Amino acid sequence: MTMQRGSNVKGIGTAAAAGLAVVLLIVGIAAGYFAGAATVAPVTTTQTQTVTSTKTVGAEATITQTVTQTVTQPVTQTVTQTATSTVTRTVTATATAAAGLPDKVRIGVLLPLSGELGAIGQRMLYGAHIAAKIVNDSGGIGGRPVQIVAEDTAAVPDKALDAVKKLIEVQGVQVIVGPATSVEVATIAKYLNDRKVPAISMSATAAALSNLAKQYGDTYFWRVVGSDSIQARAIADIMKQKDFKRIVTFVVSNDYGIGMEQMILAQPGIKERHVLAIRYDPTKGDYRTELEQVKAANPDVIFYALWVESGKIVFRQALDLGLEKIPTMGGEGMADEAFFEDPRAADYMVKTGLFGTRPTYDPNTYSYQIFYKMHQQLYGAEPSLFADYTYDATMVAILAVAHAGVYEGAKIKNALALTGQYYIGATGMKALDPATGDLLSQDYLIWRVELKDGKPVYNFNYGSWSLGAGVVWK
Amino acid sequence: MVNIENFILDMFIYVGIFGVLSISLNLEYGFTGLWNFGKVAFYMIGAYTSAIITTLGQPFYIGFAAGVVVSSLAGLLISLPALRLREDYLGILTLVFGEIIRIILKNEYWLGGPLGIRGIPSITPAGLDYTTTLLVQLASITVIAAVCYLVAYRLIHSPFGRVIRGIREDELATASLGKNTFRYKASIFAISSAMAGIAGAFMGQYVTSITPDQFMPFVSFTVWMMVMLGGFANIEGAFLGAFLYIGFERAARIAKDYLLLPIDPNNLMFILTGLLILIFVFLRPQGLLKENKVRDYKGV
Repeated sequence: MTMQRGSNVKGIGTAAAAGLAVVLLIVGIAAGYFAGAATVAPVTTTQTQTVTSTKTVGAEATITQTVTQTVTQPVTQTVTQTATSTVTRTVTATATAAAGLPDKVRIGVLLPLSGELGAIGQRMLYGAHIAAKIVNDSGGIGGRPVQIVAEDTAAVPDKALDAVKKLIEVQGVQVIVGPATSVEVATIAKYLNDRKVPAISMSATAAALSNLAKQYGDTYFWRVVGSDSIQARAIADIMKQKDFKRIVTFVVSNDYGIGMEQMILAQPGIKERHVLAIRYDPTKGDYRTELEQVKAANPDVIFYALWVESGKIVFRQALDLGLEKIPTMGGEGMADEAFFEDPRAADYMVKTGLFGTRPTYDPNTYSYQIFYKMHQQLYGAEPSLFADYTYDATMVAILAVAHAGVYEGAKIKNALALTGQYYIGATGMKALDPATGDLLSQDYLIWRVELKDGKPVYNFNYGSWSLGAGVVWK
Repeated sequence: MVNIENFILDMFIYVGIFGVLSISLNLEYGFTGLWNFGKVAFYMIGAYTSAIITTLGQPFYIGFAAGVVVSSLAGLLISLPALRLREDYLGILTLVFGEIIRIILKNEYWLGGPLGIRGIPSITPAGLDYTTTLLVQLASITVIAAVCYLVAYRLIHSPFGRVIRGIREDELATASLGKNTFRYKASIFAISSAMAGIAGAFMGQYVTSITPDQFMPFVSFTVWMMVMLGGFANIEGAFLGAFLYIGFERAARIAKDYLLLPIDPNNLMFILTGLLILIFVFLRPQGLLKENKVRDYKGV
């Protein structure tokens, strides 16, 4: 069999490919340069806006604070500025603070805007826009408007990495709100450290993320939501207070369920009382074997962390097997009315007096009302899950830029702890730990399933737990 | 503040990683006709093996070598039962294999659990500025990709290469010539899994953290799309496909900021990729670059 030499028949492919490649690169580079066109402009003295806004906003404590805080910025610059303008002293002070800021202060936002969590991510983004609008309506940061730059991560770690690189390298973003899930945080944390750009998450609760600072020497990951370890502490406190001696954990076999189980067991004094750990497969559909094991362990409490669809089956079968005499507890995901769709599951929940924890804050505060009213006004709907936390994360990011006085990741990060100390957010106090970036305290309410007019309901006023006060029954 | 060059360097690093994966799939599907929908499994095994070994304090080359060996063994092991199946069942089995490995890793806390392994030592020395780090990484992946390319090139231009093409065209006929087709298929599975393994090991140290969610089945299909774009049974096409896909993805991410569209711009990328694949399937099913004829050995 003979073959011809040099007969590399490639046809039009090669030419077309080369053409495409060049076009792609040119588009990318051009777009990148346009994106980065925003340079630091010289200081102008048209800052009167800021001062008037402080009055109009009035009781909006946070904005007022920003202005007063930034007064303490470099004094030397203030002098040179007043010399060239006729504006009053307070105003120039604010202008000095803004001297290091670009024309537009970009706040990067990483959220799942497509994919499985796309629907919820889109509505979380409302929170960021509300924060930007409130600040811009009152004159921005020392006259520089805030701009939200959102990127989609689809809640997939690889995409989150692409997205954060685009924000930082192509658009020069120096502070980021998000990402939403803990897995994404774990993936991008090192890159954030390398590039010295802080990210403030609104919903990544995994306890392991508190170790990032220890692992990398410093942390650029911060969060305005309580770590799971705080909730585990609340649950452990309740278990000890009720003096349960034979605890069984029954959790769904995924990061939520297993994480919950591990965190509770890590609390002091729980391991000795723990007799059995069940991790179940939510797609299995029959849990009699697992429940028989529970029965044989003779527990005095069962802690459940279940998903709704499989959870209903677990509860129904638990009732069939006569487990209704054993008291039950649950995590935050268990306070979901969807469980009541199955009357036998609901019956089991009522008979065992299922109770558990859920993060809480007071919606009657002024801070929350500002957020709530603006949400109603702009979107005409009730805020969805985590839109409030996204709002707070964005506010903390904006205020940290104002505190830092320059648009530079490392300095903004250093300003975060101070910002958190003074900021009272829609979702409560946002005091942040400078060593780990964690929210220092999170309050939990204790709910219980009860019968009201013959129907099962959640009583969200059964008790409460906080770091300071511990368990309080109502 | 804007460092577009970093974004472009980073893109080429990923082109290198996915180029190696595409070569590996091309050896299996393009040249031998084996349907592997579980490419991600071997990528994952390489990444995890190397990550575990290097985080224990071993140097990166031992991690890389272990990643290659373990992936290759995994490829060989899965091929033993799988290759006796018909091609479509082989596709299903490899797809499931990837998912099984991913779910095991997610549930085993001593292997990192759902948040995976962080703090994987990087091959670049600490203290370099970011752009230099990227250049060093790019140089390293270029060397790795070049080695994989040369290995693939030698393979397909050898008698071995003619046998695997023969298996692709007609396995029965090849077997009737006295070739042990099972052994050839198992070898190609082991070799290409080794390539996927080194791609994974490299990715792990580049990102410095790996989580099970980085290895969803979608990664395997991404590699398939790259091979479809670049060309089946063409190893240069593997890199072209990777470049086009990743470049396209990144360009779409940037371009969406400048386009006013009646659709949600975040879905632009999905729509355009889908469209591109359709165009290719209809107009140029063999991919951009065609299969080269086997090199002549006259005079050798």
